[in-house]
Amino acid sequence: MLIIGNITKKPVPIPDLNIVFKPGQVLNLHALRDAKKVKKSGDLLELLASGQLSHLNGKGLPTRAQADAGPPGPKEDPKEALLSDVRDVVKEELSKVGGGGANEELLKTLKGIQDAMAAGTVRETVIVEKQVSGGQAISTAEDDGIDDDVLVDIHTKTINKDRHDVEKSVEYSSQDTEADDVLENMLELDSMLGIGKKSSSDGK
Amino acid sequence: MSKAYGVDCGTMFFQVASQSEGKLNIQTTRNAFVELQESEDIDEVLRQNKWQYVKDEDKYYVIGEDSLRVAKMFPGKVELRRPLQGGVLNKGETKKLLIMNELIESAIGKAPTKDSVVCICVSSDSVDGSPDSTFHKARLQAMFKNLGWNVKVIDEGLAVVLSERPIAMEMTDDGVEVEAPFSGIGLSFGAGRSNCVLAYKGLQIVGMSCARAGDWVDEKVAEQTGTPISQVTSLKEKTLDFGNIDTDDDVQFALDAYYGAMIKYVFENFAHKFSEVKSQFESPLDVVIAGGTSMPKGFCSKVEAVLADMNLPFDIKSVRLSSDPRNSVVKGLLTQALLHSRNIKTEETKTEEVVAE
Repeated sequence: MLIIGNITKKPVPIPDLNIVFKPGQVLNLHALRDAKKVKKSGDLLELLASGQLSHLNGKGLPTRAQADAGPPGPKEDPKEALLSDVRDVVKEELSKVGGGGANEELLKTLKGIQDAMAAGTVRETVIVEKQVSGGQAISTAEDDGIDDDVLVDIHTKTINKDRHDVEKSVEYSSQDTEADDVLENMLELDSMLGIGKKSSSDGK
Repeated sequence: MSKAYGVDCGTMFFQVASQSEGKLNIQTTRNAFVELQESEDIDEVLRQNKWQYVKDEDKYYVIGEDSLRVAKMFPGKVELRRPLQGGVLNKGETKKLLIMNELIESAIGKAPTKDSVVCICVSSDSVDGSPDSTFHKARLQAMFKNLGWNVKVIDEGLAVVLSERPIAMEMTDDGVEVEAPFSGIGLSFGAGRSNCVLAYKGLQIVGMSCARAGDWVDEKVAEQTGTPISQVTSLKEKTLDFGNIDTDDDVQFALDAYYGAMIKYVFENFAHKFSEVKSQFESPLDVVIAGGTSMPKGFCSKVEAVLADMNLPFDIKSVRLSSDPRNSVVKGLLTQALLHSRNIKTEETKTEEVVAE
């Protein structure tokens, strides 16, 4: 375990590890990258020295001698390296099944990512990270470098795996009022923003 | 005919807004459930009580307000569960997708046309290490897309701005002061998360969220006074009045203190975010507030009192509580859904015209 935090208010990339810290983000680098690779990261060494990143806990920090020894072996195929990282996390999660600690949802999502990568639909790097917050491990699948539509497709596949017909009786409390303010606001916004404005958050 | 819905999948409530022929309809249910063990007479019990439920294989899940009734009836025997926690899908809840899917399908069903739109909201970037919305957002989008809807996603605080229409004043090139509507700070104090967005003419400039919200206040007050959390919540929802705090009552006194701490924390963090983007709002800003946690009497004055002691990087023109704080977010989402639906239709018309040419 090697816990590093970004103590600045700006995103901080570690180029030779292909990891980007969000402002204030804390990551266990050993959950993301091979410990040997981390130990040889010259960029991490520089960022720690400059104070942009901070060592919070754990062992395995790079040293000048190791970093100067050059890049850690031949350059890997980024897709292969990513696939390998995803496999490692899947393996780690699977190993927890016996102890009841496996996160089923993360596992399904990771498998979805693996499938999508194998099918070539993931174009760039995906970082599956473990954040530590308030003493509790939080696993999140970040969308760093992954197309939003692909991420939604992965989740759609996961949902459909579990989907089946159920019996139900669901009602809502219902309230009716005049819609004047909603419609007026919509028309005013429409005239201000202009028709045809497109947002990057569109889901379809 | 195409439809447009605003859907707020909140930690405490699941709400859907739609409009038809000038009428606004808001459907609400509590976003909670309890699991009941199968027994011979369970069907009869459900029917007799007219409880809402979802049956999956041999398990019954009583949902909505009825789940609270069942939980109160069998204290310690059934556990009240929530599909969402802290403003995002509850990581530790295995039945969250089952319940959410059924709530969504029951409320809006399948999209009637290809250009039908749903607008949902997520929390802005977290400033305090609480889980981010990436997974939550993608999973919700997938649920609605599965039913054929076009999905628009905005930040929760922006929904408040779109609903409450704060106004900033600005100078034209000719030196004339004019109104800039939908410009100001929108705040939503929910159960799981507080959200804050600065917008200019309906466009989000910066947003942030934090885990200090209604649930945090309840937990802290319960912890400090040794009062069961359900009693704290009940007192907060039914009798709390910031203009009339009984300082001899430990729960009221603690609620007042923790509400103050929550408001201060939210504005301190938002002030940092505001400074980061170096926004140039020279005129004072409207602050519009919504969300279930803002509903106790005197909340607005409480906010003003806290802000009076703070040194913020912007001036505040007014602090205003929504006239309908519980429904403000979902109304803002409907506004955005209608706008998006209109945009899709316009795009389609343009495409048809090009094809015709």
